[in-house]
Amino acid sequence: MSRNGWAAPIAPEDVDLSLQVAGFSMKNPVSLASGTAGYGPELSHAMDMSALGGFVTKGIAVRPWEGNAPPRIAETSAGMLNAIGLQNVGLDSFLEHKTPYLAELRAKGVRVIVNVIGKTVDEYHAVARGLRDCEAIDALELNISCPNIKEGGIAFGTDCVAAGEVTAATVDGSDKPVWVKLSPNVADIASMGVACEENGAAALSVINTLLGLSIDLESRRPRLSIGKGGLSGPAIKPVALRMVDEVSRACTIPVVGMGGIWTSQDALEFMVCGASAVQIGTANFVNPRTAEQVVEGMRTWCAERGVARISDLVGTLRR
Amino acid sequence: MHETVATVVENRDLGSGVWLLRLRNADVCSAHRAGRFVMIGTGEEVAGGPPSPMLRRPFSIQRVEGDVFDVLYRLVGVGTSCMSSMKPGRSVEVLGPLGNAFTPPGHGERAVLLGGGVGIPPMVALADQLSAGADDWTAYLGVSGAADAGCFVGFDERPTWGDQVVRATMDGSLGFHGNVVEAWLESRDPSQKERVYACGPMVMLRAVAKAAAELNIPAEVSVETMMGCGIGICMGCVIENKKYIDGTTEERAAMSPYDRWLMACVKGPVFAADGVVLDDGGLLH
Repeated sequence: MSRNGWAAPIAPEDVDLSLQVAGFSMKNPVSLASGTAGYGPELSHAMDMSALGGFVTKGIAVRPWEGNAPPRIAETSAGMLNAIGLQNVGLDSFLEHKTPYLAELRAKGVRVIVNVIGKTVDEYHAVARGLRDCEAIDALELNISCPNIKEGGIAFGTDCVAAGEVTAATVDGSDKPVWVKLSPNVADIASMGVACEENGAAALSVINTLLGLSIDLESRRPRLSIGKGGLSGPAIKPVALRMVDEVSRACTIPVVGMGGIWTSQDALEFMVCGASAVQIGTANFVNPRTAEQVVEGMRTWCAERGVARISDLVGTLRR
Repeated sequence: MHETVATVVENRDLGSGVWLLRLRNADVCSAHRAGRFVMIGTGEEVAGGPPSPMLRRPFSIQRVEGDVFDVLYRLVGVGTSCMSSMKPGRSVEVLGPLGNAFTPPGHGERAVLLGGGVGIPPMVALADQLSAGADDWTAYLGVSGAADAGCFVGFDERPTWGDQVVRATMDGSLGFHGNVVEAWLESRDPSQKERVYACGPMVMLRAVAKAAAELNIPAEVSVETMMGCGIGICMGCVIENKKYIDGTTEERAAMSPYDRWLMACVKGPVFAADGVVLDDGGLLH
């Protein structure tokens, strides 16, 4: 055994990348993050979707939303700000037009998670009810943390009582495991995780974007139409790792880690910090094949270090 | 769509901050149609992290010859500045061709091509396509002054097109004195059925849309917006759907709030001139 505790190398095909998250298995830890991969078909021309462990849809509300006026995005150092405003097709259109592709994806062994958005507790509950009995879906992921809408959203994500309430209402309306995606824009993210767990969350997605501001100096105007936006990309990875560590130590339910993952090493760092699985977001915009490459990179990395089961790495951060 | 690597063949300074980049990739070339674009990774690849700048930049394909395609660009920021340092032989990340394409002219219609500045490239592609199909076309191309004449390169490369091509400058230093819409309106034959295609600054596209509407001529515009991914997943590049605001009662009844903002990368970049709101909301410069 090496100084760092690794065993002798094994063959890449002997590495077991599968894992259990909140009541179901995934063939590997890598999913595409909500809002960075559309409803599925968009990326299917650019990558092999069957290589994914899971897929998380763009957020779905009970009715269609317009989203914000442009400019909606601005590039920053090693990242970007966005203020899309959760433009989405709404529940009815989603069920009619988007679930057939998701069912195909699921038949290929890819877990399908639907991101749920709302402006009130009742709206979250209504989407959960509307998705009952939908066989194309494995789990829901509550977005209680999008910074880009004027009402609701962020309030649920920054208040333990409100987060608990919306979690409980969605769990009550759903027949599927409910994950909750936490906001990093809080002083104590572990308490938020605990509140969601106590109210029935099956897993926690950590983290959503960080609230930021980018300005054009010459005009002294914000670069985004609504002013502030959500920061994503490699710039936020250290914050995300810290929060995955904190939440995973405070909670007993699985943590799904995300925030600036670009490479397989990034993804493995999240797992060592306590994430049972990971999601890839902003990197999809730049290289749509990132997820495929991360899966293969994880396999190689584990093989070289004799890690026979990737799940054995979860939460092994040495202190 | 191909997620691929192209090789730099040539990268030439045409003056006044306008450059021509020639890239070799057979897959991109074979799937090209006039109006489509590519996303180009402009930053140097960095091991273990994102390139800088991170996001790829969208460029219209100007011309395809064999397995080589051309893009014209103007130095406006860090991405295009990085592009200008690309040397022949270098590999470049390319995604494309992306987006829709221009609708070909109908029987008996003369195509009117209107291009402004670095909006001229899709008109080169269209002129190539129409010439290959023996369609009737005339191009009106405009820049601010003779110093920007590098933007005309795609047409300059085809001297045999002769007076099918009208060059205009706002300051009168070269060719027609005025803008491209004025150049077109002054010389057009009202008895000739026309179809208009345009690409250029929003102020020009607004003038095109207005003139086409007044003359009841079908018109298509290719728009530039702030684009993140090019494939419909970041939802950043939207332009406002005009029908959502002032469509007929029936048109509006058929739309949901989701339809207010259209992604230029997948619904465009070519739109009916009367179908979108041609304002500068998506661009700072």
